[in-house]
Amino acid sequence: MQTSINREFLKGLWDEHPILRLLIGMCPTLAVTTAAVNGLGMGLSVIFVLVCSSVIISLIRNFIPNQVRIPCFIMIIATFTTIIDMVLAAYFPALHEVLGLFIPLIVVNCIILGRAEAFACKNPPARAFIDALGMGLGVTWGLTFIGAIREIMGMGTVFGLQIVPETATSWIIFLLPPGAFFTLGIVVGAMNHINHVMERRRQQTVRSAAAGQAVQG
Amino acid sequence: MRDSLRLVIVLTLVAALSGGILAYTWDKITPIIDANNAAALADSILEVMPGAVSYEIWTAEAASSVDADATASGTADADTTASGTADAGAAATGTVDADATASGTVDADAATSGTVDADTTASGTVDTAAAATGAADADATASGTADADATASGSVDGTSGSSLVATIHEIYRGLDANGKTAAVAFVVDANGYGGTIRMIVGVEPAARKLTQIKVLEHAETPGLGARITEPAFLRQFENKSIDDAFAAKQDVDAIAGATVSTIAVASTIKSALTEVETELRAGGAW
Repeated sequence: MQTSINREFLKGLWDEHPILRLLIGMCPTLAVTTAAVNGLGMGLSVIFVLVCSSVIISLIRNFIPNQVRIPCFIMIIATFTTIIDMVLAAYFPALHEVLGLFIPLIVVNCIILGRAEAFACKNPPARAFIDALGMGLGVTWGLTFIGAIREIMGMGTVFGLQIVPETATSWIIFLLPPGAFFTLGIVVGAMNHINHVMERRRQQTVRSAAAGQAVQG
Repeated sequence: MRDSLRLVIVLTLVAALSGGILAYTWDKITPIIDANNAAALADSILEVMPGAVSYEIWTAEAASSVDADATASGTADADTTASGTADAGAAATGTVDADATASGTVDADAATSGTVDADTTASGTVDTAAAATGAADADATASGTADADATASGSVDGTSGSSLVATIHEIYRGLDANGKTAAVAFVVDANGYGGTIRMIVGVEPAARKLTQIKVLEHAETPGLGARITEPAFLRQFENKSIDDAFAAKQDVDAIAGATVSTIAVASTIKSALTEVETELRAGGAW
């Protein structure tokens, strides 16, 4: 049981990374990752909405008729999104100023509907919570990572700190929409390559272990 | 039948619950948001006028007699920046536009179920949205026949094709400790790339220079146009002479990848400054 809980949590961080493996939620990914801090802010907002809506949907999953489940999910997600938007505006105006633009985007973020549909409506609240947290953190690191790359290439800064000498030419194209596609493609490709290499290593170990056993036998 | 009834009930319940929760949150939170915004605006007003310790809203009505009345089921626009009297009373069901920036007389008579007057006597240039010829037209499209004649005995500027129209909201007069005008600030809307950019601009009339500008609201692209809010961009407007050209890439550094936003900010400030100066001069507050 413990290992399966760990798995529910970890799968969102790598194996089933919503952005980089499942390639869902591309719209906000491409649109908001112009700077690392934007990606981080969007990711944190997604965690909040994803966790809240997953738990609620999991709690009421037995009452919702199958035919109207999607309108119900959307209403729940939209409610939480609006609440976080208003609460941030009221109590954290400075943070809201940075994130304000992205928060309404969360409603149409298909990662959240995807988790509601694929996981929360079939699992108990505790598991839905773990799954949502893992997925949310996955989104957060993914968006922050892509944002950091684009910020370094486009402005020479990361989280606003100058790390590339100002004399170096920065590539504005990385901040523009095409740069989002370039970066996403390269990151997804790199991730696939890493997985590929790891898979080959694993097979080699299995094979050499098998060979060792054969020799012993 | 029972199944579909169940669907309706569940959907209604979820919708009602969501609606209820949202209404409750809205009810509790809007006053806080409004208070925040008001406080932020008050802070911004004083922030862009470093010399001022207090401020008051400067009203055109108080200084000169500039009226714009719409007593009908129509719309009446009267953008007047003149040191004179401008009445645009539309007692008709129609649209009345009377843009007068001065010199000459602009009459707009609507011979319908009402009268429309737009009289301006001043010295300057006349800006009409309608025609760039000697005669300015103010159209009243009413439920009936409407005639609108405008005679302008001055130079007429037909530069209304520009998409950059400065919408000035409030003008604030910053007072120093002795109650003298230390600076002036105004809130102005620019048409940015992603929507309206609302800015507050501080001016020192005596020195003919800007004090500071601040972006209050915007919807520009994050990472590109949104950088108009960064100090690096805003600082170049500090102590800038109001007689400068405010042309992007010349005396205003454009943000890379966000030329539209830069031009919107710079040229809106420039045209708003001209309008505000005319209006304040007319009211004797410059």
